[in-house]
Amino acid sequence: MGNINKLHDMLVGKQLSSRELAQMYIGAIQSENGRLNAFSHTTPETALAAADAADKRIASGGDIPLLCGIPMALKANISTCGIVTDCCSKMLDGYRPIFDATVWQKLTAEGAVLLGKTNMDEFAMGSSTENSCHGTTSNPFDFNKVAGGSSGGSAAAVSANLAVYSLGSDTGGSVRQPASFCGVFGLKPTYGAVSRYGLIAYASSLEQIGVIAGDSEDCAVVFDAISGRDPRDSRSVDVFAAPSRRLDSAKGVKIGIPREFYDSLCPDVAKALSNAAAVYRSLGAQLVQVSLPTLKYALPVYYILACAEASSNLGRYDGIRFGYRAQGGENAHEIARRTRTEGFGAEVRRRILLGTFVLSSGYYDEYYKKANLLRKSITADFENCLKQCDILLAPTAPTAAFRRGIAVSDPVKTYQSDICTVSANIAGLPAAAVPCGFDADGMPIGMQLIGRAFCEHTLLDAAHIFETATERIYIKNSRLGVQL
Amino acid sequence: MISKDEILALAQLAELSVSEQETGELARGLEKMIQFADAVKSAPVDLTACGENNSGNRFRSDEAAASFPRREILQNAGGGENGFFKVLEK
Repeated sequence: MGNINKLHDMLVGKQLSSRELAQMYIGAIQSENGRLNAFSHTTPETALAAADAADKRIASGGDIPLLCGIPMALKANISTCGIVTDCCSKMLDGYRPIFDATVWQKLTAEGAVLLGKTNMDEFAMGSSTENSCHGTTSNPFDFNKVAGGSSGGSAAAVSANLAVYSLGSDTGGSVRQPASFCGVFGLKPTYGAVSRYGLIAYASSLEQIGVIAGDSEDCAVVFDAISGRDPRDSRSVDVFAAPSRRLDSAKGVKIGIPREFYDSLCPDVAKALSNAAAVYRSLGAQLVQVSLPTLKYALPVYYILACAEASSNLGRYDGIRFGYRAQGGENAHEIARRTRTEGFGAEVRRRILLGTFVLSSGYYDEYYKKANLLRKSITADFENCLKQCDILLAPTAPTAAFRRGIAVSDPVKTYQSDICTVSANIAGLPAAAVPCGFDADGMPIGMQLIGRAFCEHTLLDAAHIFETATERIYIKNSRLGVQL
Repeated sequence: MISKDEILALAQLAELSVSEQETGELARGLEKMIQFADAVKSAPVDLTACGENNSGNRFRSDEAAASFPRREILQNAGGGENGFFKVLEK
């Protein structure tokens, strides 16, 4: 049983109160966050107020939502009215939104208890949570290694039992890769399944708010609560109109193994993926070799499109209406230029410049337009594969978590670590990171399940089947944080 | 190799300042990123297609509704002045 259901039963059964539960997590964060740095901002008073409201609701009886009274976290780019939402950037220092993101409105209605905002790479640009103005987040399994990124704080918080679940955002792997590195479950929904209203934009055609939780069951509960059509996000879809195919066993399920994902994996990751495939085969699944010939273009396509969209989205930061404002400047342009130069970190400025380059006259056709055309080809390749099978099994990253300092010393080399994840964003498909092994140093390894559009529950069921068959041995409970 | 003048032109478009010392390092960093992106140039594609995911926008009906109160909108801009965003001190 996942933690959410377990805690729900304890709260409704009055074995403990929501306030007591919140206090446990607040205390754990106070003890551990100093060295882990999973949270960029904590909200203990908000959490206790929400916990008291949850206790009142439980005491009044009736139908109590599963998420009522459950302590959780939000990545620092998800808008929360009156609570600092700074994308871990100097540019948004002290920024307090005047509205809630749709996902936060939905979770508030369920009675969620917000412990704080989690650390991230600045404006979600990074794969290690080392590009944050609040410092680096450590991996709970080895403090000398990264938690991954950009939702590293969220993944570390859940892994270290400092939150039951967290929402992150995934533009090119930023929920799945840190989930894999920290040994927890991470779901990037289908593009359009979850409203982006209130998610501070990085690359609007690629990003989705995702869920990081202890296991597939917890993830399913949260996904159902946050997904659905929102008039304020014109690309969102009514996901419940056509439910996913549900799986109660792996028997007869066709699992595609796309060969291009398996190049250049470190031996421990290759072995863990091979073992995972063997588990599914032993349960009666049929493994099907498939091919994604355009996968080799996925990384450059991603970085061209993401940086182009970022250069446009981040054009709004000029120091006039919100956020950091530089001193001096004799006109609006000069104010904007000083503010943006001082307010953005190095990686953000690099990506804005690349985005500007690919959109500029003389280069637009050969880079941006070409990348958009290739996007269609990549999407078509996935559609062809998913006609031959029900889900795809792939690695989440070529390695387990790497040492701190490597990503910042050679950012472009680090882009290669996104090779396994960016294609699901390009094609808009749902994808989940599922713990499936450990490397020789004991660091977690996650497999990636990719499914058809709006078939999240098929993925979640497939993951649950794996978790059960392996007796949850890869769901390693950290000795840090709250021990349930 | 991307030139210093190109870096300065891009910076101007992006409303960023780049110091003399930074242009060299930025040029090298951006060149690496461009080489990385160059892989798309040789890729064969259907030139009549246009890439997108999902099936397009679903617009809400065009009905006027109340916006946020002006006072709240100005909260993150130091309160503004006379109900306006303040760009320059006079």
